[in-house]
Order: sequence, then C-alpha cells, then structure tokens
Amino acid sequence: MADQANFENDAMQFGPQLFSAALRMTRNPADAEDVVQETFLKAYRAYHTFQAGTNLKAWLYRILTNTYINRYRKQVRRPTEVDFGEIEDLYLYKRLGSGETAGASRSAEEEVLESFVDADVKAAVEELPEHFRMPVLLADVEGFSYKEIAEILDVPIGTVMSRLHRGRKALEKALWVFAEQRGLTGEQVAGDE
Amino acid sequence: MSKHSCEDAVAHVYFYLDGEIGWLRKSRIRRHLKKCPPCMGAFSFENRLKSIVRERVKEEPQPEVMDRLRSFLEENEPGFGK
Repeated sequence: MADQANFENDAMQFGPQLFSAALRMTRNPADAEDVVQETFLKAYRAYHTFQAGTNLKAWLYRILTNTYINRYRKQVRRPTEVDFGEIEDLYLYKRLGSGETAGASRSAEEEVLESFVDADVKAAVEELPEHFRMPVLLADVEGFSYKEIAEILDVPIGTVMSRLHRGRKALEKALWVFAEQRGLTGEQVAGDE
Repeated sequence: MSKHSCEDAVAHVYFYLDGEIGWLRKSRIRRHLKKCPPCMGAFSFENRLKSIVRERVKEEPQPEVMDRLRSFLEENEPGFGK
C-alpha cells in the first residue's frame, strides 16, 4: 500500500511524460491538459490502492489511458486517409531503398529517416486509428514491454503484439506518403521547391 | 542466404528489436544477421525508425502546465502537497 503523503514525491515526476503522451492521444494541448489533470486527481485519490514497489509509471499510464478513452471514445474521429489493410513487412524500407548494403556509414534509407521532421512523425502517429496508436506510443515512445502494455490497455498480450506490429507498418505507410510528398524518395531531382 | 532464414528473421524483426524474444531464437537471428547484409540493413533501418519515432514525438510541456497541474490538485485535494 502506498501512502498518499508520498504521492507528490513519487508520482509528480511523471507529469511531463504523461502530458506528452496525452498530447498524442488527444491531439490537442487543452484536452491533453484536462486529461492529465483528471488522471492525477484520480491517481491521488486512489493512491492507497497502489501496491508500493510495483510499477508506478505503468499504473499512472493505465489511469491516463482509461481517462482518455472514457472522455473521448464517443467522439467521431475524422476518417483516416490511409488504407490500413494488410501491409507488407518492411514496407518503408523496401520502398525507400535499393536494399543496398549498409557499409560503415548510414544507409541511404536511414538518411531518409533522419530527414523526417518532428511534425511529419507526429502527424503520422496521430493519423493512426486509436487501437494502433496507443500500442505504438506505449512501446516506441514510452518504452513499455508487451506485458505492461497489455496491463495498461487491459487487452491480452497477443492483441498487443498484433496491434503494435500492424500499427508500426501503418505508420511506415503514412511516412512513405510524406516521403513522396517531400520528394525524399531518392530519384527526385532537387530544386523544384 | 536461404530464403527461409531471411523470412524467419523478418517475421521476428519487431520481437527482436523490442527484446521480446527467447534467447534461442535471438541467437539464431543474430547469427543470420551477421551473414546476411540485406537482413542486417533492414533490422538496422527498423531499429532507427523506432528511435526516430521516440525522438520526434516526445514533447516537453511548458513549465506552466505542471504549475497548473499542481494548483489543480491543491484546489481539489487540500491534503495534496502538505
């Protein structure tokens, strides 16, 4: 059992991370702030139920996720512009490259990755349908394990794997669209900006 | 390089990069990657993509956001921060 008196010391340090995650969920700073405030209020009030010594960060993310879902699930999402059917493995890599061998330096494909700006990657993540977006955020941005994500989202671990892997491929597809629009795909001639 | 071992490696790329893989399969894939530059290139790319997502998506909130969070908790829970 955790003591409420320790809440500030233990839990507040996760505030910025939770806000960053909430921003990717809600896609809007004002909503993100509301979700985080509600999350911390619930967490504070329920802190006596938290098992001290277990994973506090995962516990907070679970409350965050539930708060977000309860608030926004009913909202109609804008339709996605990308078709998320079965996407082949290594979708982006195969399209970007010759598959030429990476030598001592970075490969041409990785150079394209470096050229994506924050706004590209944020937009690609935000375009993902929620059931893909959450596992991708929790795994790639927050660094949670499959087991932790299963607990946070309250779904079986097999579902986490399937959604995470498909979500990443969908993200690759969205990034490919940006790469094409930006002329980052290799053959384009520079200078038509 | 046998088609089968490339397929096996690619099918497990995410498990491998996420560290969610048993040691036996992990060492088998590692051996394969050492011998197969195309698979090594693909793994390296997917690994870099994973870090790019983390680096580009993380966001530091303005300090005022955390100040407002504290005030919100103090208003609603007089015991907070005491």
